[in-house]
Amino acid sequence: MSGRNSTQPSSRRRPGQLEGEVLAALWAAPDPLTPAAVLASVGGDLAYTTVMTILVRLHDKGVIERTKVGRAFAYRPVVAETDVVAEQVRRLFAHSSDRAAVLQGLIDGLRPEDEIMLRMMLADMGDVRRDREV
Amino acid sequence: MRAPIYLPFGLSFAFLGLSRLVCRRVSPRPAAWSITVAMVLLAGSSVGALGLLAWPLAARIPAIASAGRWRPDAVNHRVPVPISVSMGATLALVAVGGLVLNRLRGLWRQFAETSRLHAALVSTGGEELAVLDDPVPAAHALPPTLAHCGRILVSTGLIEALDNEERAAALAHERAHLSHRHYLFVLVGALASAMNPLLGFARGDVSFALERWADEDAASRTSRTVTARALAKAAVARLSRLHAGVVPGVAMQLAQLGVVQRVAALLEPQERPARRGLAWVITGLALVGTAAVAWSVHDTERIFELLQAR
Repeated sequence: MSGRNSTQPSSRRRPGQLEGEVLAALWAAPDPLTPAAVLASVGGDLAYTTVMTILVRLHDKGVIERTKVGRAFAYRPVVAETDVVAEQVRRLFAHSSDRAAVLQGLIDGLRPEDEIMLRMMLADMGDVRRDREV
Repeated sequence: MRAPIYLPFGLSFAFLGLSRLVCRRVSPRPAAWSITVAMVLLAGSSVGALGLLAWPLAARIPAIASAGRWRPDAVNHRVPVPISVSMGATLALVAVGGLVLNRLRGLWRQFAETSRLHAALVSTGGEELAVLDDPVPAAHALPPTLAHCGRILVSTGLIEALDNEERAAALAHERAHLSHRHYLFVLVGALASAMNPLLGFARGDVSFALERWADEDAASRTSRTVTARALAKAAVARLSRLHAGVVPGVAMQLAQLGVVQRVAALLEPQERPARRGLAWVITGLALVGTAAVAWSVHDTERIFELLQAR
């Protein structure tokens, strides 16, 4: 795409974006994560203190909760109530035949027969290597 | 008010095939822009043309004729539009009015729902991202409203299906929708296609171009392979979750272009130069339609000035 996009490398992220990535990392992990583990998961050239600040802010908002693990705190997302909202979201995105104010989702527009094609493409991309790692 | 007045309708038919071509051949950003601009021009000019074609019928009404100082029966002789065409155009205008009102009502309902959702999400997420406890992989960009900034919604199903890099690509994709204000393209397309239903078919093309645009944006922030992998993995995970029956995807039914084509486009080697010629062609054609209507307005004025002179 245009040069404007490529001049902004992924390491330069706005605070709101970082918060999103930290939150996503916490949701992705099966267990509560320590700040160090969050840092490893989000990656990039983040400072430990940045991650710490975001975690404290999220905790203050009540979006995540923490437990003591050894000498550090480990954080996990608060699950309560999100399922109610999830239902609301499903409704909003499912029923609108003229989805005007609302965009198509990331992976809408799928037909069952697409699955074979997508699996082949994944295989070509070397997904085999990743399966072994997991 | 001669042949050119019918041009916007002919061009709208030609647009059916052309928008698909642009969507396939032109890089996503100019594709989305040119199709949307052409839709606006064609919607405006076809409504304008209907108005002009319907006008002679109104001009025969005695009250209007006396106000304009021409004789109602002179309209029959001097205006080169058969009365049956004027009647048809009037009916079409009424129908279009109904469609636009209906679309506006739908948009308002969606706006209200979006606002409600924003309000509900305040307590569940960070500033930008809200994670929803739903095993079906899904990600959406919730457009901003007056009171709330745009927000990204992802399901736990999506997060579980992807690794760290791929997750970053998925978030970057949704972020691109918000930062490039893709919801406005969708909004404009919805209104334009209510004004001229023929343009409705192009909405699927715009929607595909917007997804591709966001994919390319995500690819420039992560990498093409990572973005392609994120899409393909999320799609496979979603399909295996929704194994039974048809997967909902309204835009898909119109476009017939979906995730598979997007993944393929990301994996395609990038040496091919971006073609923009077609984008200019459809914008140019739509401008021709607009010009034809402008000329017809002038022509109509001239005809009625002659009527008054008699």
